Amino acid sequence: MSKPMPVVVGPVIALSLVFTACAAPTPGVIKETVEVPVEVEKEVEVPVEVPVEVEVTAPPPELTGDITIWVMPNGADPQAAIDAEIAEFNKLYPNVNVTAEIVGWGDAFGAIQTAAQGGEGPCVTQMGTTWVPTFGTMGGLHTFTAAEIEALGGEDAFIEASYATAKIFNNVVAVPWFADVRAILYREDVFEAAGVDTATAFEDLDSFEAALQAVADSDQDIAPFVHPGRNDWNVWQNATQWGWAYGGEILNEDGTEAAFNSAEFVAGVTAFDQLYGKGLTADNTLELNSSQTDAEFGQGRAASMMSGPWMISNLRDLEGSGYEQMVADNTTIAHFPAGPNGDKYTFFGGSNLGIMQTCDEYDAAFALVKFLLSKESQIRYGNAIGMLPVTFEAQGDPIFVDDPLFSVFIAAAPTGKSSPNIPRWGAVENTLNSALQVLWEDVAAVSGPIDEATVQAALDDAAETVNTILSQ
Amino acid sequence: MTVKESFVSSSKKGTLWRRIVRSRIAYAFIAPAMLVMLLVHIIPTVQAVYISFLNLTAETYLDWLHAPFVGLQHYRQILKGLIFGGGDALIKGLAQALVNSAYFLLYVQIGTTVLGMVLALLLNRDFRGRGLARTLVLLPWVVPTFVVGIIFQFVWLQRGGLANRILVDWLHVTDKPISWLIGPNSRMALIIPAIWRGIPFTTVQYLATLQVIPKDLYEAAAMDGANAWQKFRYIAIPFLTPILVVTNMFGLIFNFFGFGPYNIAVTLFSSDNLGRYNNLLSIAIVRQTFNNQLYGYGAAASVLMMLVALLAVGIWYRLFRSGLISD
Repeated sequence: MSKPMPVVVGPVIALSLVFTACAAPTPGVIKETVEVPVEVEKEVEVPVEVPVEVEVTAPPPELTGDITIWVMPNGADPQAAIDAEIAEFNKLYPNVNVTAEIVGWGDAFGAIQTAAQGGEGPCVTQMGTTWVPTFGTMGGLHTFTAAEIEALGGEDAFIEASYATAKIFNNVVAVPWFADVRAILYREDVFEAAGVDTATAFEDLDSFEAALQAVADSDQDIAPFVHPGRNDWNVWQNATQWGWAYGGEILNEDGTEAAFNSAEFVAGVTAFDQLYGKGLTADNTLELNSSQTDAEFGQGRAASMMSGPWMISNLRDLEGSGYEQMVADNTTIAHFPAGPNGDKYTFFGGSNLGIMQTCDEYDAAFALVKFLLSKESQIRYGNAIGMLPVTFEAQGDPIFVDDPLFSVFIAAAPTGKSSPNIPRWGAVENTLNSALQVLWEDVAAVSGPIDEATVQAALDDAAETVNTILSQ
Repeated sequence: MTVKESFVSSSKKGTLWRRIVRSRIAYAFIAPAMLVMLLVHIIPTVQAVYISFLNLTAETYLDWLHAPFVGLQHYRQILKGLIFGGGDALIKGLAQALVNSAYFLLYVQIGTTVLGMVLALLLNRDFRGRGLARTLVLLPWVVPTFVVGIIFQFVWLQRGGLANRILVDWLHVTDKPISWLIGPNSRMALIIPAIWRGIPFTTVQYLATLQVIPKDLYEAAAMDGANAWQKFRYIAIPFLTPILVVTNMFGLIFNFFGFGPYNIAVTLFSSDNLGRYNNLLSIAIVRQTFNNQLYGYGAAASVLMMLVALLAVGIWYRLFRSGLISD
């Protein structure tokens, strides 16, 4: 019996190659930049209380079109939060139909990557600040012109650390939307009961550790500190705060080589990783993720933690968060402690907004971005999701600066540091995360504090990989 | 050329076409499926093979298939590291993942086969509530793999997790809660959900086979004085052999090369960086490809994995070909 398969396979493969070739986009084609007319100045009244009502004295230019925005699960009710903004936007632009799609953090990176390549995607997309270099390098995002930046309020309107996350190769490809600053949240009552002077306890990492030891010794049936371990999405962010405080950096100055295996950075990471072995953390801290860590603190099982401004809404909405009243009544926030040389840094993250090059309704997309950066939207949305606004104007609003909790995060923002803006940051982050996660396994395996040599070896190994990646 | 030779030659040329014409209705029926196969399987596969020859990274991503051609560079890089060890720093994760995947495969295959067989034998017996029991056994199968990860995260939590409640509070096996989600125990924390998810498939396959075994064979064996083990060994096993071969081959593909374990792991551990015990092959390749934006390198690793899978299936088929044919 003859076998017809090879006869069939040949044309199929040939057809595949034809389809494959057809699927390839034309390289180097960049959508023409559209000049957006500067809109009519509008007077905005911002009351102290949210929700904020917008009073528009002159109608903006008539815009039409259907656009989609991808947002990640921001806050407790992400859909309601963004829908509220769209409703306000539609008061200005009733003929622009905006659809908000919530994309999980786990899927978002791949989805934006596909959209950048010309696949099905939105007009406007949120992206984590650390993703901007990658997507900016890929080239699927619109580059904001100087005129557009001016129309958004100009560079000086933004918090410096936020604006620094918007650029790659000096091109602004995703404008800041909201900011996330980390700080130490602690239980005033527990620390005071342990005889700790909370006015000085968080000045530097030594005094912080001494305070944790005092809580551990005070036999109050509460863990002194809780932090996420291996199973988390904030692994490098947490450890790097210690590395920065000790004078270390992630990469060298020009971003061409790993620096996280320097003596300073290693000392910082070691100090952080040793807290578990010294008995200063919750027993289960190494297996927790950020959400579970927040819950451990909120439910009164830990006396202190590192977290961000989203905890404020959790502490104020006890019914929704399930946190204890005693925790809400006694929580205070302190800046991240300084390192041995007085260096004081905290992780500064958040999210930015980019416009895809494939967007057919550019004017409407830009109008939406501009609206989301307006003072009233920044205040309202920041409050709704528990993040900080990125503009000075919005951050300076009494809603934030007069708030005893928000104000600490705002004051910490100038010490904020983020990831280096290099095209291969995603790969560096992944490698650093892997090394730090394996270190948490080592921490779990040893009895007592982990030694500095183990940390050094793990970070040396990761540095070798990073240097290979960066040299390619 | 003689007239006869000429006739034979022309008739050979026309054989395929004539066969297609003769079976045109059959070909028409399979045409949609072939088209879908072409679109969703063959084109992406050919594209992946081509990408494996390109230096496709974040910088060249929009160039897509026009990224710089580097030939077999990625393959050389990977094979050199895997065969000779050391070498490129990028390969370290893959070598470790290969070993982890072998562990994972071994445990999951043994677990799903043995437990699936035990359950199938139990469900093949007559007892009250058998229908309900059969339905319940299927439940893990309808749970999406992502959800399996979330469910088992609650099982393994050091504080308040079901496993430690049973071991510490009820059975008093240990005084101190066990840490399942980090350290050496985390290997079992992933293997057990994978077995739990895989058992319904093997159970259903084995049960379906057990039900077609004629009862008179068991009756004759009983009359000859055969005990339960002998009945299982000499009656059931010959019937079950083909399906054992097939389910284990599916298991090999799914658990070693597939993404089912990845889906469980990323939700179970809230991360796709899974440390030294659970960094499986598929997870390592995804990380190298998408997290490190080394798309060409990742495609080469995927193609190598596909070739190894084909080889494994080929060897498997050669070894167990006779077992696939039931008398």
